[in-house]
Amino acid sequence: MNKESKKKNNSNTLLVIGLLLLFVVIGVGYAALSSVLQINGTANIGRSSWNVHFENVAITNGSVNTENEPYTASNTTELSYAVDLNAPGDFYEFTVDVVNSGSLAAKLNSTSKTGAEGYPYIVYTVKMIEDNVDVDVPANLELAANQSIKLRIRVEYSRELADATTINNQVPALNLAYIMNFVQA
Amino acid sequence: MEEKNESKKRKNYVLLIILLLLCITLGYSLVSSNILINGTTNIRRSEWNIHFDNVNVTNGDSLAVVPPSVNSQGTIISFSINLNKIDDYYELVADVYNEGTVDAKVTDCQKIGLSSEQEEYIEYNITYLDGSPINEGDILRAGERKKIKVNVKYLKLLPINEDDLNDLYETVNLAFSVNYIQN
Repeated sequence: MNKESKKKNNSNTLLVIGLLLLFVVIGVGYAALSSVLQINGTANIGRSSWNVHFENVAITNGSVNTENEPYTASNTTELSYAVDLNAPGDFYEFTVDVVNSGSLAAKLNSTSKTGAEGYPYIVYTVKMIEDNVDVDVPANLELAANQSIKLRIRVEYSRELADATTINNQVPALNLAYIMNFVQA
Repeated sequence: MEEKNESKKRKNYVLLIILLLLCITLGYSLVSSNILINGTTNIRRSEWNIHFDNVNVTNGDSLAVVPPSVNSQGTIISFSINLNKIDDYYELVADVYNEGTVDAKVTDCQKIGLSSEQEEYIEYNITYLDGSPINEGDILRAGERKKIKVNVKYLKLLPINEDDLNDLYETVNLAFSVNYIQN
C-alpha cells in the first residue's frame, strides 16, 4: 500500500472513531435526561367468608348452679350444658349471641327444639330478645354480615305444672337440644 | 558592461519590490484596526430533577397495612392495603414535581396488576387529580407540579377458596410506571 492510500485509510479510521464517540456522547446525554417514576402497591383482597357462631354466654341470676355451664370459645357453633333441676321452681337460664362475622349474609333455614317432649312440667323455651322483649325466633330470620341476635334459653321445672306425681317420679336425664340451621341468604 | 547594467537593473527591481511591500505594509497598518466585541454570557447549569412530592392518603387511611412511603430519590411510592369488604376504597394523591430547569414530557406509562378476572372485583386507577388520564406527550414544565391520584376499590366479593377455607385473602400486586424525558 503506498503512502498516500495509507494516509487516507488512517484519516478514514479517525473519522469513524470520531463519529462513534459523537454518537456515544449524544447517547449518554440523552440517557441522562430521563426519569422513571413508579408506584408499587399491594392489595390484600378479602374473600367471601362464612362464619355464623355463638358468642357471649351470660347465665341469668337465680339459675341453679352447675359445673357444666355452656361456654364459647372461638367460633363456637355448639353449646353444651348439664344441670340438675331438683325441685319445682328450679330453672336454668342463659342468654347467648348468634353472630354472623362472615362476609356473606345468612338466613335461617330451619330450627329444631327437642328433648322435653312428654314432660309438660319441664318448660323448655328458646326466645329471641328484641328491644328487651322476648319474641319467637322468626322463621324468616336473616343475619347480614357482621349482624347478631340474642337468644334466651331457659329450662324450668315448672312449679305450676308439677304435682305430687311428677315430684315422686324419677325423671331420666333429658337431652335438650336446639338447632338453628343457617344458609347463605 | 551589459552585465553590469543588468545587475543594476535587477537591484533596482528588488529595491522597488521591497519599497512596494513596505508601502503596502505601512498602508495596511495605517488602515487596519482591531474592532472588538466583548460579551459576557452566563451559562446556567441545567438540572434534571423529576420526583414525587406531597404524598397524602385522601381516603381509606384505616385500610393501610403500612402508610405509603417514598424512596430517597422520590421516584418510587410504595403502599400496602387490606380491602376487606365491598366498597372499601383507598385513595392517595401525590405531586409529580419537575424541580429541574429542563422541561419534560411523558414518553410512556404503564399500569400493571389486574387480570381481566380480577377487574371484576377490583377497580384500580391512576389519573391526574381531575380524573383525566396520564398520556404520552403530556408536558411537565420546569418548576411545574401536577397532582396525580391512585385509587383502589373493592367492587364485588371474591368467592370463597374452596380448596382452602382458611385462605381469606387474595393478594394483588399493583404497579404503575411513567417515564419522563426532556421535552
